[in-house]
Amino acid sequence: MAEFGLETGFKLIPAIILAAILILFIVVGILSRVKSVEDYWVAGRGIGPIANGAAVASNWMSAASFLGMAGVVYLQGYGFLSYVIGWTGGYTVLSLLMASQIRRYGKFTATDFVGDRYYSQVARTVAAIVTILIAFTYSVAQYKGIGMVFEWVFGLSYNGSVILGAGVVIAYVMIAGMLGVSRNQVVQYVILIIAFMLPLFFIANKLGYFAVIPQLGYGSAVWEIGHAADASYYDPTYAAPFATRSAYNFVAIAFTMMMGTMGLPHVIARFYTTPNERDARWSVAWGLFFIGLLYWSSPVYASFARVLQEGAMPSSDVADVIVVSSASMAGLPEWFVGFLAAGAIAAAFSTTSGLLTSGAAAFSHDLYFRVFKPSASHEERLWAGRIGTLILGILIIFVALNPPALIAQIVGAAFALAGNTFFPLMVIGIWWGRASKEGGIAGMLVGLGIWLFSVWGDYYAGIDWIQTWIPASASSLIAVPIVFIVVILVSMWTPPPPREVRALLREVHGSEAEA
Amino acid sequence: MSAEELRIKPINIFKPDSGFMRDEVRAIWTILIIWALESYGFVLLLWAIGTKGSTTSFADEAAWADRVNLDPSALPGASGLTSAKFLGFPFHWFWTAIGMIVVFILLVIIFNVWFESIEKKHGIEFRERDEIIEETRDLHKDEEGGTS
Repeated sequence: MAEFGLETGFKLIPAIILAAILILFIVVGILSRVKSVEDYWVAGRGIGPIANGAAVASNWMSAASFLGMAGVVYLQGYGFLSYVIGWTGGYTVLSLLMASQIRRYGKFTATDFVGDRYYSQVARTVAAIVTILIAFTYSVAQYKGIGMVFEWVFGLSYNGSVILGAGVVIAYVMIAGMLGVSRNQVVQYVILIIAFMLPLFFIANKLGYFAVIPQLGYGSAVWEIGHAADASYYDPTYAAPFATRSAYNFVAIAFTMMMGTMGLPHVIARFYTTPNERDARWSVAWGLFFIGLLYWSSPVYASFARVLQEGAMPSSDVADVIVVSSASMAGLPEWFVGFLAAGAIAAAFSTTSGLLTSGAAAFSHDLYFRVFKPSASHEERLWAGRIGTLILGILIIFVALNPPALIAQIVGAAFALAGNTFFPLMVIGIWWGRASKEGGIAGMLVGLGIWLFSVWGDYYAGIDWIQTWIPASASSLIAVPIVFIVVILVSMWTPPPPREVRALLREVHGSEAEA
Repeated sequence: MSAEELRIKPINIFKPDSGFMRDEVRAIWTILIIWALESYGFVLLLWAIGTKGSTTSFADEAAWADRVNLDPSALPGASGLTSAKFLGFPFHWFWTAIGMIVVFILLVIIFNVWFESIEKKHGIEFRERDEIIEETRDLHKDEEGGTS
């Protein structure tokens, strides 16, 4: 039986590769230091569709994509491919319903959109709080990923690794604003995807599968795991569709991830950075392709890990680092595994920096500037943003020390919150001019309430029916229809939006009504 | 309706009120239906024609060791779609993990091309960023004038 746990102890070469990549990020960050408040948020809006697509992908590809996705598929096979389709299919609907309109609206953040479209400080405040909660939840999972990989590289305890990793992330985000992040996100994407895909060719070759395109070659591995009863790694529940997760759970997770995609502030913000709406639409196509390269590859790691461990029972303790440990099990040299591990860290870093930035922007721009102190100077707002980043970055550590679930599932919970709140508000806000501020606020509060209830019931109270029907990472299938109904009914009972909002919406659609 | 009334008439996706929006909404619904059928439609089909049963989880090593006695064709969701082989894969795995994503990307491309042809048909020019920023700034200057 092969060893599938990771060796402990300090590893010099991986540590050097990791340090080199992090220093590279910081240097690039320093070279592109922020000059103005606007640059801090949206990187000057001067990026083309391919580069913006790569930035979308890099911003998107977090520890959840890099580590967590392969982890859950490794544990339960087809049952968790719901994450693969959920984290891609949302982009298609985003391009249909929102990409051009968001771009035409010309706002900086999702909170700005909600605050303006629902013409209310209350709506803006609730949206800012939701943005911060999303950034918080999402980052907990990133810290867990960073911690587990640092643990392997430095031979530290998990807790020590989380604290060290968090310190480096916060320092990095504080130094470069989004301009630096955005420019080098293209570089980050390239490093990341190479680090992720390269080991697969060697593992496929070693195991004797078609190694020219491992993303197709692993088919026989899935078939053998599912059907070859004489193989040591035989486990038919891996390939059978609903053997590990019910059909309801599969659909609920996929749906939640798709709705969440369209509601995530750091995804939406990417569409403000393009020069025009045509670029915004093509950014989606490029972004989805770049993301696809990674998601076509994740189940390959999962399946190869099953084969490599020769029938040992899959364990949730190692699931979140199965990408790194399968490369290690396959006998790849330490520097190569180190490069892969550094890629995982880069993924977690780039997403965390985007999240901390949007969380801090919600704090400095939407809460501090808009609500508390409208007279704040640019300098003051920049400092409010930095202090917000620091506080958020430190608070996340406390939850990350005792993570409530697997990486993919924690990120899934962040998606559920975005799907339950921002998604309905954005779609209804764009496509139904009658939606009123009361409707929007009520909808957001109901969505937030359902999410808090599901997180409490699933993670902290462990209530059976909640875990079955509205788990923390899949509550949108139930919540989205409810929030839609709430927004529509409350809007019908309350006065319509003021004429400026309706006129602006006409412009956002570029469509004059015909008599 | 007066010009002013038309200018502030609420948008409604179910009642597109200009030629451009009617074409746009038709494109959106068409792509949305294909999107739903190829993803959720496939999963529901898999469930509908598959064997029914409850989920398995391996509580301990003993339960895990018993997996050798499981028959793939008796597990929940098993059907012709799971026993068919395609490029080495069980077909349902291939479609879910690879095919669906390909179609998601293709649908975005098709929509973009379609949408651009609709824009062209109705003579709609997209605007560059600076114009939009200026316009929205002007709009909000009025609003904020009172509060700040």
